[in-house]
Amino acid sequence: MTEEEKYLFDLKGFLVLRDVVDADTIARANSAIDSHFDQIETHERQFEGGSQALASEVRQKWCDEMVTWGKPHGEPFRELMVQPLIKPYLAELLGSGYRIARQPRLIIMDRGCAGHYMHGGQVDRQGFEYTYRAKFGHIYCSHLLVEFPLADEGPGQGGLALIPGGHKANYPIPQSLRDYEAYQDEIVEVEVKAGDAVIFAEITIHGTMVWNGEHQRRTLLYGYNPGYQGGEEPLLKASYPEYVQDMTEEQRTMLRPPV
Amino acid sequence: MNDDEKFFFDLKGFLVLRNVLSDDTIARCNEAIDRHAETFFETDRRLEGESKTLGGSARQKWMEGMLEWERPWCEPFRELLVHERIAPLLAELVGSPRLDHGPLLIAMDKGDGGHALHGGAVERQDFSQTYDFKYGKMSCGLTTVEFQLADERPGDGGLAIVPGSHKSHFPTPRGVALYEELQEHVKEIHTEAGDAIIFTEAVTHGTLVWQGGHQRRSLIYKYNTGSQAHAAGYHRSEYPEYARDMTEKQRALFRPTGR
Repeated sequence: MTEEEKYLFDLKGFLVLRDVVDADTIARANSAIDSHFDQIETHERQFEGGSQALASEVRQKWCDEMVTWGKPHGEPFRELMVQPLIKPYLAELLGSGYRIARQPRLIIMDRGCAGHYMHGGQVDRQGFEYTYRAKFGHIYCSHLLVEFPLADEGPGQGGLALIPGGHKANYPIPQSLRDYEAYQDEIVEVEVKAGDAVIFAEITIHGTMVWNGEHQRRTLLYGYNPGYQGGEEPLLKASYPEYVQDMTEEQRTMLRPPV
Repeated sequence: MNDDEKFFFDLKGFLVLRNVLSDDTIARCNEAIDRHAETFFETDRRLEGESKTLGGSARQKWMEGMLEWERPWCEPFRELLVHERIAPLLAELVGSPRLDHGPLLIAMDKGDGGHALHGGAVERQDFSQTYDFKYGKMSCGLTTVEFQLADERPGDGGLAIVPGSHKSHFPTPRGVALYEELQEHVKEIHTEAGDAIIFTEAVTHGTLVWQGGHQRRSLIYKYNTGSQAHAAGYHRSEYPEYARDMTEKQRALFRPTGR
């Protein structure tokens, strides 16, 4: 990670990297998704919240199971966990020993699909599990996201949107901005092509615009954490030695794994 | 945690709490320790580092594993996992706490060596060990509760802290870390059996050579936020089935938290 990239990441809370993933990997990932498409379900959650600007009857489809697909369909998604061009950024921003925070996520949006309200910022994200700080010349992040688009996004098609500097915002997000109903000029609709990558901290204020592209939006979202932080979902099955099972529930709770 | 306690914890990085343990708890802990005296061990590390003032005629004696002891010996140590006087402080400082590691008993006889001072905001930057203050609220990573099972009177040595160093913006001077210079800035903490000290790992702290005629016994519990682990923890972790046929580098991203 160059000094200029560190400057820009600290300044804006995200970086767009061009031509990170080769065409073969993109093709294999898309082919695997096509093969499993009937297993990918429409997400029930209304990600637009109360926003009129981001609402639609067309819902996003999510899938978190790609790395479980085995060979050959799981392979491209597993390879992207350790993408060689991304690793130096993870090491710099999370420290050595970084780990995956949750199973990689696929987000699919068809034309007209509803967006996701803007979220993040220092006020919304005060815990260490979703934070950002730069101190004594070092950047510290938790829950760092890497988005690999499997299809082109933009311009004007919607999709990933970020507020530069939102990872350092010290005041609550105005509701109209959260809903994308005012201050739209402050929001950057990220223009990327399949094969690019976007690195951003979960705390960077971000969301998703209504998808206006003719083609299907497909994007992969990989979340990483420092080695000392658990993830959103425990990926490892935890068990306890017998002496812990003999404790009171309150005592046992103190010995739980980090999540 | 009342407003005075918040003020002084933020100011100094630690609080001394009086009469936390009942005489009965102290007695049960000490008897259980006496019953397991054969499990005392000496750490291989030179805890005093290169210090000319902290080396002793003998080494500290440590004891672990108290939570695993058979009943009734384990019981007082389990009870201290969740203590009514400590729990509100942990809730304020770390949110929903989990035991990161401990309990560790440190026993020191007259002349036993100390521990070089460690910590400091420059040295403890990552979220797992840091001290932070934002929007009127403190946030700590690794947070230590030290229960005293024996008195530590003026001149005895034992726990020493550099008040305010959890917010220092400059590295700890070597002479301070080794307790060879500027000793007037290092505070020897005076307590009686039953008292407790709660401090952030980010405050510079260490142990002075023990000069007391009686054996020092300090019982240490280290807590962290619910999402963070500095140590390996008390659970066993099992990889999900689908991760077994991943490459070693891919599987490494699923590694358990902690070191």
